[in-house]
Amino acid sequence: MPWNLDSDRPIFIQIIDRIQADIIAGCYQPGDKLPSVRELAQDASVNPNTMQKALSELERTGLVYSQRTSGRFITEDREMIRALREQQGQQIALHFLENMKKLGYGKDEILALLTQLLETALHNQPHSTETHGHSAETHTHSAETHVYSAETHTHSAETHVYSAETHGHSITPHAQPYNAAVHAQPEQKQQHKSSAQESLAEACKITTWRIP
Amino acid sequence: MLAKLIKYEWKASYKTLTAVNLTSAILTLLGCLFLRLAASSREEGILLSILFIVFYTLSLSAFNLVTQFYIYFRFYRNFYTAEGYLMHTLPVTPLQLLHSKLIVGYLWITLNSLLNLLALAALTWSSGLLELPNAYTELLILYRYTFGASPLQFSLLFLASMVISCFSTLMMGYLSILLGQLVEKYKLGAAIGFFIALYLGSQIIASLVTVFPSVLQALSGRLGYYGQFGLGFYGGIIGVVCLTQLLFGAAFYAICLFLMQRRVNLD
Amino acid sequence: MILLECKNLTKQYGFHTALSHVSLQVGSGHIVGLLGPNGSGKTTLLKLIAGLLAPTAGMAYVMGEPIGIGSKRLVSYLPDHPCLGGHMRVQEAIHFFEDFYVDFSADCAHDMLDKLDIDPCCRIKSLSKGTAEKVQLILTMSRQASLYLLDEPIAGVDPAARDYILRTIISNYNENASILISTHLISDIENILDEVIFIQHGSIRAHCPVDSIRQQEGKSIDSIFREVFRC
Repeated sequence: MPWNLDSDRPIFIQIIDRIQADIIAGCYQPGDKLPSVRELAQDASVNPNTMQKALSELERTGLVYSQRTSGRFITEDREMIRALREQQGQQIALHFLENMKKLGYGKDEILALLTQLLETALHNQPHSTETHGHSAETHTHSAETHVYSAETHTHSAETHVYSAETHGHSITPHAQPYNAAVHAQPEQKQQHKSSAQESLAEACKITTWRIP
Repeated sequence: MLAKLIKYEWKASYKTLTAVNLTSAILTLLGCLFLRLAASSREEGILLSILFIVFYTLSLSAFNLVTQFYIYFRFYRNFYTAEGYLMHTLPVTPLQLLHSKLIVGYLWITLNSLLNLLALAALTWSSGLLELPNAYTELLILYRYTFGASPLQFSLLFLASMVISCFSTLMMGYLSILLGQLVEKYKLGAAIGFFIALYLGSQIIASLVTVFPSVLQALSGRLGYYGQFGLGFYGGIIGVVCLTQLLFGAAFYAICLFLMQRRVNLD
Repeated sequence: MILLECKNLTKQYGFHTALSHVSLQVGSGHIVGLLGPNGSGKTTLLKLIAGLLAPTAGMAYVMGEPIGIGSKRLVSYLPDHPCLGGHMRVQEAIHFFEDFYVDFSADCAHDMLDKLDIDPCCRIKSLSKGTAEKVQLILTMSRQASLYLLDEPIAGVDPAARDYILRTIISNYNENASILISTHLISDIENILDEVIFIQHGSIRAHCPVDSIRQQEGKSIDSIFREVFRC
């Protein structure tokens, strides 16, 4: 899994984002053991101190805990993971809405566009293709057919023009590999699971979603 | 550590120098055979023998020079070119570095000189001169006449002076390289310049020193008969030569020690 | 623990000043980039610490030891040009290092040679330039030194081997040692650095953690370098 770290921003923040994304996507299950700092650092080709800093920060937030002799583990607190997922989802959605507003889209137009895209996406199952030679993120996309109008959540599909970033950075069009939104649902409690939803077995494979 | 340095220096230098000495030995063998065959006193035989001896002596000197300059070259290349980056970052003292080169270099130069002596002895023996009647008695008289000492005494002194002068020659070469390193630019050129200067200087001093006692003798009116003059003249020289070479060698060595302790400035 | 300390290091060649009053401290457990344009004094600084040059003024200490036989045991130096005897075979070079350096691991070296597909029986002079550089790097990194000084370790090497070398540097990392890397290929290497030293005209312009620069400037070290040292 290539890490695709951007030299323009602090690396440790990007590592935190990536690990959080992996947790939400289900690559790391609650309670799973994380590889050692050294292994992760080698995998990501980053300085071990930087990796250590990122992991310490994750420990501080509680997403990860360490046992002195055994190493680091993902939290078992599924509520926390779900809350994180919602928070991330909201941020991505807010960014999306902000950008659409800049383009001059109104609320109805946005809804219509989303509905159309989601329907199309449902027909074209997510498949593994490469984008223009860039390696994409390795998160699963779950295709949602429902848009929750009642709740405040809107699960947005990825837009392939903007790289979605967290932590309040402004969205800038990059020629960089695209960060895709992460929407795998590890929970089985949701009623509104569509047939297009990926199972966890398909998690963490390289997918891109080209909107025709 | 010193032993390890010596080991690697030996490994690096033995191939070339063995080849040189081997070639010299083969030439000697050929010469001996040749002289044996040409010992039939035909005119062409004698002429050829003389030509051969001239050629042979020149090549012996050449091989000696080759050995000497190869040793100098090893010192320079191993310490003051790209390889110096490796050698000077080893956890060894500068003196250990110097001594490793000194020991191996000295061994080779002395070995080469000894082989040359042996070669000359072998040639003399195979030329058949010693098989002439009364050869040894004549030789003894000649020795006493020329050198004022028995062949044994003379040979020992000669050997000693050779061994000592090998050391001083070696140190002279190393010293010139070290002096060359003191200069900012054109270090190799400066080293060659220093070598020439040291060589000429030491030769001049040695000549003055060896001539001096005989001049004294001459002035004190002890000229008399040529034989006695000859005795004094040549007899004194060898001892003085030994001493001078020893002093030079010691002086060069001391300065080398001092310069090696200085921190290196590798380009 | 302060691994490397330079106090007012100065090096002059006649009228030309290569290094001017360089003072810096590097702690243990860091991978530090030494970045600067050509002729800024990077190689001079590394050679001074390695003991290949004598400073005109100032001192340097490695783990409290002044530069000398004590510091040479602790420092593993990789020059930017080949320095192994051409007549040696790679195998013999490994024996050489094994003989002189207690902290050298021949197994580690053989393993790396294997991974990079280099035959230990080759003579060094028969290797290509890039391969000879790889061999030198392998020998340097097979030591468990306290301070590694790498002068342009990846410049002459192909991109795939570069990745391998960077991964090797990371895997060799331990909290008691530090690596000081001087390079031009900043974009390749900046992710593995945690501190960076900018040097120009023989003086230190900046010495700070990499992530704080990124946070402050919002740019990569490579971009900042191009801006700061624009021709």
